[in-house]
Amino acid sequence: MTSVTRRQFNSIIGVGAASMVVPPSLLGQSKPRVVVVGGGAGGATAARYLAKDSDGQLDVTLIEDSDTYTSCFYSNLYLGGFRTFNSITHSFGTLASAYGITLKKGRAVDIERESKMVVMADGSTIGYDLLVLSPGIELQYDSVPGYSEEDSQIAPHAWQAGKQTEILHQKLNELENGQDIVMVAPPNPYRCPPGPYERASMMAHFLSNKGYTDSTIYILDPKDKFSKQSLFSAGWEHYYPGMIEWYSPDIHGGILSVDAKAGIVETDFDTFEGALLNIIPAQKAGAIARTAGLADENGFCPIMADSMRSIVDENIFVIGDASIAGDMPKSAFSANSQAKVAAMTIRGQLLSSRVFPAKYNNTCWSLIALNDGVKVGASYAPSDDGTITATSKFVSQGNEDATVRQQTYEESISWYSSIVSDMFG
Amino acid sequence: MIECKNLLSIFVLSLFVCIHTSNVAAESSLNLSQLATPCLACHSVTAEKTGYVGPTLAGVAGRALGTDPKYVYSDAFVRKSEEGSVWDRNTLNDFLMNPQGFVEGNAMNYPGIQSDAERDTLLHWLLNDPSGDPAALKDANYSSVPEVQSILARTADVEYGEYLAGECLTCHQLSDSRGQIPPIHKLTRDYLVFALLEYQNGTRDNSTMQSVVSSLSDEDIAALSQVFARIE
Ligand SMILES: Cc1cc2nc3c(=O)[nH]c(=O)nc-3n(C[C@H](O)[C@H](O)[C@H](O)COP(=O)(O)OP(=O)(O)OC[C@H]3O[C@@H](n4cnc5c(N)ncnc54)[C@H](O)[C@@H]3O)c2cc1C
Repeated sequence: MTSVTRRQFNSIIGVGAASMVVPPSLLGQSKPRVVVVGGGAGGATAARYLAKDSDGQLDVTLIEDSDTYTSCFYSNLYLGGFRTFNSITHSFGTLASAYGITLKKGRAVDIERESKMVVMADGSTIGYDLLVLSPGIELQYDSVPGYSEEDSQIAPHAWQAGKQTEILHQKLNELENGQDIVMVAPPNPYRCPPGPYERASMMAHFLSNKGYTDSTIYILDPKDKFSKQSLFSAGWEHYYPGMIEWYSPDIHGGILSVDAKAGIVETDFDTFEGALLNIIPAQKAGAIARTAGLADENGFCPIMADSMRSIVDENIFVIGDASIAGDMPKSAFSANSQAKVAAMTIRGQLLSSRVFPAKYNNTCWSLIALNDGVKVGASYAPSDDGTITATSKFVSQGNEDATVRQQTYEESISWYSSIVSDMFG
Repeated sequence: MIECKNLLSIFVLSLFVCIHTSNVAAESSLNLSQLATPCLACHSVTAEKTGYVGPTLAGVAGRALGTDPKYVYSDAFVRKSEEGSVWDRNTLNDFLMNPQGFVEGNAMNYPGIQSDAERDTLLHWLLNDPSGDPAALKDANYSSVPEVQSILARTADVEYGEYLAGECLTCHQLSDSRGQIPPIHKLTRDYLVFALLEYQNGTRDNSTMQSVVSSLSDEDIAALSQVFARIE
């Protein structure tokens, strides 16, 4: 950090006068244009921080395909009966009305990087000086043999929230006692590492609340371990004995095929039948980031750790799930944290405001059962090798008492309402 | 060169209106002598004195529950004491937040104290030997804690603090709604510094906060506390 002189109250009074000093390069020109693609955890935060902190000196446009944003985060709690669908669905209205962000509804299909333009599905183009991409993920349906996008209407993934969440919710509600659920968990890297296991907990909670304890949830996992595993396993044994069975590859031997209509998942070892299949395929960066040539061979986008700027194109920042953010998991918290670093860097470049060393944080809360919340998290900074690296980590302990678990759950409720207001105003 | 103001708009609005009054208002709500007045009506702060309605507060930190030899405890409290806990930050905190919730039927005639900041002020006092002349308490506040003092004496880089504040706002909302994650605006600067230092030294044990503060330097704390103390 360079040292700076103390800002006295008087200099703050000077805000108005100071901000009227327009740099010559901008005289007679329109304001610098920043375009954000994707109004989710990363994109909404980026747009809001860009607009809010630049005193109207940036022209901020947010391109979003959907009318409203239903968060994946807390969608499991909707399945468990702890939230309503409405409470996890949010509008973009305040971003326009209170922050002056231009909302552009529609799908971005390409980026002309030479001429710095976003091409929309209707053929129109939107020019930018700097571009932020936060398109989230795209599911690789064919990573699960036999599964397809069409099948997701019957065997939902619900790994992008909205209609998919509703389908899964409805099918869960229609289940009868003794009918089973088969979940195929995704391979790394994917959004929300504890997500599939929180989902299994919430589905079990819902069923056991109804007295449907004869149903079993089979989790067929391509991974041989998972996030917060010991905490989840202990919770399952305690609250839902016999209801959740997790199989690693050395037990199921590999997923051979999914027949969504018949409700069958064939593995090397056995055939699993479920009245409800929840198939969560492998993931890559949202299509727009890959079409624009910003992703590596694994399908996600390498970035510079100190700014979230694409390694491929200096005029583009990639944040959220689409980016390769070192030690940071793909979470809403991470996306929100990355958005602030990107926004600060962009203002520095376009408006000559000061640029500070990047800092990142994440906490992922999960609910195992009523009032039993756990969390895992870390703080991060760019390291010398150019990746985002954890500087301190923590995880809930197995022996915590009920009060701590309840506090952790209540903390997550506070977090949800805070991050939503940090994203959408 | 443009003089870019990345002040949160809310800061800008509030600065003009509130900067003179806010600290005064907030400080008075954290005035220990005022907060302790109800306690001192019934509790002595020196072990020798007798004739008080309640047990002494002298040496309360680390003392087992229900063990002031000069005080006759309610049956409810005696039963609670049998659990074998001691008065520490957690038990005192729970007791002060909701005395009847902590021990139903206990004899303390006090409704509890809801504000985290106010409760923390009392806790700080209770845990650091509350003996001495209660009249002297009126000057007590966090800025007298040496570690706090040294941070308050630093230059606060407000622009930097505004950037850092983004880290806090993912979880701490700028509203008065009270959940498990408390609001951190409308507090005095010295209290904010004090609280952050307590996370750093492990006195406060929330793991998310401990992780976040582990990367905060004294300069960061000086900057952040200045920014949040200004938000009304
Ligand atoms: C079940 C589940 C539970 C989760 N729980 C948590 C949790 O508890 N905590 C947590 O921190 N995270 C959680 N997550 C992860 C979190 O949802 C994601 O990490 C986060 O949403 C990523 O933010 P993003 O901005 O990258 O993408 P998103 O939030 O998905 O936003 C992308 C947006 O871009 C839009 N978009 C995409 N492409 C285009 C285009 N070409 N043109 C126009 N618009 C486009 C989409 O419509 C979408 O609105 C969970 C995820 C799941 C699936």
